[in-house]
Amino acid sequence: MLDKLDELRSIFVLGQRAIPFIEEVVNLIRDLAPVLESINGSLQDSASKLPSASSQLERVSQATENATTEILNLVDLALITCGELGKSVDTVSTFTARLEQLDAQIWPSIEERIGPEAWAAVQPLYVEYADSRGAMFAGIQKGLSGQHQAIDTLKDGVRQITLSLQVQDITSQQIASVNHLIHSTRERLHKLTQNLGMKPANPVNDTKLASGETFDSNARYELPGLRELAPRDRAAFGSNGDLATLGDIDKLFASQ
Amino acid sequence: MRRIVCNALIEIGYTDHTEAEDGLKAMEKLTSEPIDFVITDWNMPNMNGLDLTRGIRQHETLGQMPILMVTTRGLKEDVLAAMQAKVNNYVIKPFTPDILRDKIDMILAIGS
Repeated sequence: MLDKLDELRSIFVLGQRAIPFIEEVVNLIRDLAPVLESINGSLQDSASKLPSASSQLERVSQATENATTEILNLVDLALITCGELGKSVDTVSTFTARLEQLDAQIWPSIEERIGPEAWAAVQPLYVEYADSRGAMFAGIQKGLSGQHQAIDTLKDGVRQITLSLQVQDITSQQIASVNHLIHSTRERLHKLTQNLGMKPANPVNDTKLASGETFDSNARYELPGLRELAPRDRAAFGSNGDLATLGDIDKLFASQ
Repeated sequence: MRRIVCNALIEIGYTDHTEAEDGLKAMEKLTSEPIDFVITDWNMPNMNGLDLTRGIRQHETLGQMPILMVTTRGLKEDVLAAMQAKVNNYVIKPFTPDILRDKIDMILAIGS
């Protein structure tokens, strides 16, 4: 009987000691409730903002694509104009050369026909004319040569713009990759809010993911040849995560 | 991107070309038009370049078509995957018209 009372007393003592701990647990749960509510709200808020972030990225991608198209239109126009300018310069050059030829033929013929006396009277004028003509043709040739160089420089610049515009494709790959990440995160949040018994902000629209579009999250804009300079071990072609150089690819396909 | 490739082709002297939006459309064109060389991207909607290449290789009449892949994918394992799909050569973007010409010439030289 006394043993039973001792056991009972021990239980009471233990209970008395446990009460503050239980109170602490109750208080903790009470404190956690608003935090959990806040997390729920935060999840819903995040889930509702993700579609907006995704569509903003799509708009950025679309805007850069439109801008690229506009620049390409101008590049095409610039190349056509360069071609026409080049033709004009060539035409002037051809006519100038023909004039020089004719000039070289006409004056000896005049000298022969009018005779030495008359030619002696004309000669000072001819000398002045020939000097002026020579200076003029030299000036024209120099100018045409300069214009040819300017057109070539312009063409090179325009070609370089076309090369640089490939950055649009590369960034759109990266944006598509980030968008895919956003879609995946949204899907996870959707499932999480469902598990927490909450109504999801918006149903997940998987059309983008289901379209079969592929993208390259590792897409990078490096000018051709830059990779060749990167120090890396090329002994084992095919090691994971290693970038291929132009030389690597050529060697590989040459060995086929 | 297709336009940049087309401009580059024109610059290096290949003026006769046709375009397709994705792998499926490319396959349709290949089976309905006389085409003797394919330049494909890897990342395309509906059917990517790798699947297009496999489709061409498995096709009874198109199997020997020369294929050049032009892509942003620059990892060695990507190049190997393209090679396993049996592309004839591979160009990583950004590229210059000269690089494109060299690659086309390499494929045509091996083919001849």
